[in-house]
Amino acid sequence: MPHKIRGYQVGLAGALAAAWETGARAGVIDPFFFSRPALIAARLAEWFSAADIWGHLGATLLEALLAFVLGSMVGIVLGFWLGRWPMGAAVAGPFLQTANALPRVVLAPLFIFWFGLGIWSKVAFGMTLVFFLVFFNTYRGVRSVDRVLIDNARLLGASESQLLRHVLLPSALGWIFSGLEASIGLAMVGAVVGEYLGSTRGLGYVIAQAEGLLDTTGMLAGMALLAAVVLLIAFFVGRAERHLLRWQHPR
Amino acid sequence: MPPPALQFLATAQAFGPRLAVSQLNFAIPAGEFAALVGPSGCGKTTILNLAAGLLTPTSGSIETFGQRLTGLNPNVSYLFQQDALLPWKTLEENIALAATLAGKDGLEEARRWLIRLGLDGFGHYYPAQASGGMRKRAALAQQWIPRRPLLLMDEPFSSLDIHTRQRMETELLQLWDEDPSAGQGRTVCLVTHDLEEAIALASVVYVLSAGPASTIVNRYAIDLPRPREIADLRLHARFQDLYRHIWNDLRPEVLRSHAP
Repeated sequence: MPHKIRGYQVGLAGALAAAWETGARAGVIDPFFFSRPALIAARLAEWFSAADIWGHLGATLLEALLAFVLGSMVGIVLGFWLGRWPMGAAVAGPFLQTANALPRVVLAPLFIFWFGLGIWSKVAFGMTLVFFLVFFNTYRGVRSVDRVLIDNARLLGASESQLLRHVLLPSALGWIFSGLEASIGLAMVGAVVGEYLGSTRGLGYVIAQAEGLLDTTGMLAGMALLAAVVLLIAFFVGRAERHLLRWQHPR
Repeated sequence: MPPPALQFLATAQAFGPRLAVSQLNFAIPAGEFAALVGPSGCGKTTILNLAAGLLTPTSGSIETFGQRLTGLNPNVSYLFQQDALLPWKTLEENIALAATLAGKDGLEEARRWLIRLGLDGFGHYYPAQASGGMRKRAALAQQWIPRRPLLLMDEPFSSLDIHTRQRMETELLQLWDEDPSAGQGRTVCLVTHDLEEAIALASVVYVLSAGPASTIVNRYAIDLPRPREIADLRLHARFQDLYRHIWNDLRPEVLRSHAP
């Protein structure tokens, strides 16, 4: 069954690419505005043989990774803390809601102003995207832990740290992971948008350059590379999730 | 006379405007196997939550072994009605956790209990894979391990089929009879809506009135000899006498609880 599904998926992707390619060659689709798959593939091959793409890719990945790790760490810690401290959550609630309501993109220029054109402005921007998602998921996960499990562990003599390790963390893990999965893409968005607005390196910079030259092929090749990288990271996070949550699907 | 394991002193508990239990004045002497029976919704679980210190009484107070209760009761184990096993730990890991939290060697203790309760070979099951009876056994082991002097049980076997249930009741009585701290034995406070179960297991039965604001209406000593054979006990004349006698008091409460 999974093989069959994978077969259909590959078939669908191939059909779409073939339709695009033939449409562009036949003149139905204007290659100036839409490029075509063969050109995009050729551009990617050219980038990777010229080797300078690795520097751009590495810069974007480093920014995204730092934003992802730091943003989710702060989100998880604060989520647990406020999840176990209703008074603090009640006080902090409106502030967090307000900050989260802000369209984050307007912060990017401010961060460039504060942290400069280097990686930290992008990391800070990515963190504001990752943090809220992971925080709200963690908070909700901690709040929704079965009351009986907590009472049982406490009556059995668990300290607050034992409660965290044996009950709260495993219970909230499903929620935390759904936040983490969604924020991989956001960490990349943070890095790319930050680069786009002001930088000299990274995939966002590459795409912005291509746009400046009206080079559709370059833009689409950059996007394809971004998507591939996000999928690759999501794959590893998914693996980690399946391992840590294996009790949910025992064989 | 040692102080009672539990002493309720004019204890009442309200949830918002609704008074769940009121004027609770009763004691469970140390070493007794007490059963609380009452119609559903009469606040039986509330009484256990109060005894465990999970609730703070709205008025009145509670003493446990002569100490006034504030916060969690350090003397109790509590077998909840719902499953309280951690779903992300296997049966063995769940039992081992209880032992570790009690300052014992978790895995060794867990192995001993798996064998003692007939769970040998099922220790690697997650709760979702285990049967209701297996889960109850593991939960019982969790609560027996810390060797607390008072065991609270909330309808522990109501979710089990009748045969598993009788086996579990027998195993519970065996554990209680065999308790090496016997003489100064472990006190049990069992809550149930099943009068037969209450008489079969307990040495004293308390009947609760229908809610709201329910309270203890009567107390009966169960003088059936031990050890008891659960499966046959219900056929004995003395059992049936006790049942008729207590049911006479319980029936109006049950009827009242079903009145619109």
